[in-house]
Amino acid sequence: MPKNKFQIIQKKFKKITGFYLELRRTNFLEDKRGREDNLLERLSRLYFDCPRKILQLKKDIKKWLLLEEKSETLLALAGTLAYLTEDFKSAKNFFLKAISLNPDNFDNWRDLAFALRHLGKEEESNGIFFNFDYVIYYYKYLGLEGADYKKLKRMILRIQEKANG
Amino acid sequence: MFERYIPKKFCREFVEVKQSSRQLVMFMAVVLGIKPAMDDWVPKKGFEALKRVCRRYGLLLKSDVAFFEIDAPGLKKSIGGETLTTTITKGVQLERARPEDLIHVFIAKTKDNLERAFKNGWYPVVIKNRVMQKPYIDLQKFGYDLGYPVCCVKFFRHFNDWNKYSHLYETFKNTKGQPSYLCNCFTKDAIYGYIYHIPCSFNCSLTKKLVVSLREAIKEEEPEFVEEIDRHLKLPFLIFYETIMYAFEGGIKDKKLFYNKVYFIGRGSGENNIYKDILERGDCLFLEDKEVIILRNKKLIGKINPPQTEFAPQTPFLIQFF
Repeated sequence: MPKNKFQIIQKKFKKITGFYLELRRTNFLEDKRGREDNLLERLSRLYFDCPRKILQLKKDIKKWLLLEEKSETLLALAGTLAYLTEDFKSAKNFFLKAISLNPDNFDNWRDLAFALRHLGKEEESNGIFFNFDYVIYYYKYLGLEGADYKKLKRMILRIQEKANG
Repeated sequence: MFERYIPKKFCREFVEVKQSSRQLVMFMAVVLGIKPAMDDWVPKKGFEALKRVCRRYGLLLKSDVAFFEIDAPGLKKSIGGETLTTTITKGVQLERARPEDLIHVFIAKTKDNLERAFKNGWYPVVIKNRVMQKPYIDLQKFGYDLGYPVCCVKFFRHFNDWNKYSHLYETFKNTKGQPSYLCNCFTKDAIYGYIYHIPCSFNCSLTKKLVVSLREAIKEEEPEFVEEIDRHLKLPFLIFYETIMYAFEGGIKDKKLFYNKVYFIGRGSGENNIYKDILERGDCLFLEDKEVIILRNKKLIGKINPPQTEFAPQTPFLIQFF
């Protein structure tokens, strides 16, 4: 996304939340680090202390995504906001879009897995939790970016099946 | 004191199946409809039996992942291991668990309560050398799912940070007036306690309200158990941190504790019982700032100077509930 567009969004985001929206960094498995960003935690705290601000962000993110729909940062933010407000179906869809832009980012997968858990899709969710390395590898190997969720689900369940013997 | 309790009748099967009385009160609270849901751990080999017990008491049970190699050395060094506090364990899917592995289960009376607790109740386990930590929001909502008072969940949100605070000490500081035994959470893992949450103060009115109804309901079923719980809750306690806590047979007079027996009631299999020897040798103790002074026959036998660590900072305090 052009820097100036993101800066405008950042400014608006800061005005509402009081902190900066940083570009989502990639949490590569091989880097062996925990979570790369603490956006989810900071917004969770805001959700409890000032839920109105989360609703405001939820409104604004729609406009921001119109400015740049292919931003992993904005898609992950949209997913997070949907997650916080218990709109897990939208959260799932946003995290899926973030994954299709950057399948190497483990944080996107983890967020997707928890959204699936809330949707009652435990098999798929556990499939990601317990086989995340295979899931990321085969997703890229099979070129599933842009594919529908059904294909991803089939792949996750197949990996699960193999893993559980 | 602090021995296993086997109920005469009510919920006796729970203890028999688990071979432990741990969380018995929480189970009773769910059966009695006072607590919406609970989570617990049961060996895989006892899972079906626990399911039957739940059915017998009109409860629903749902399993999550199994725990494997609990507290194994090196787990703390997993990716994200620094975020783990109490039980540190690898996670494994139910199908692959061995008979002795512990399964994380959720128990509730209604499907709604069960599902809500399950969804927010993921336990941070290590999978493929990586801690699978749940979103912070789920952790907070889980408190509500378990029926904890709103004020205590809010307090937890601010002070449950092992890198900054001693949550129990913050609660102690936030206690105005006499601490009520109904708000004593120290014995939660030692069977004899009514609550499993850390209250916002040791006389939190919402916690007291909750416990009064639970206590009355248990009293109708198991009056002896209530007597025992009350007796334990009114002992004097010396608290260092959530993991290092001691109960004493004795009493506090003029800020000095006179005692004849010490019980370690912290978590774990005893690895946190680091002050056992010196406390057992004494018969009186008191605090001077953050230092614990121990006497025997009025003579100084030692001092405990808790290390000033950044993680899990120990701030000792002495307390007795009424």
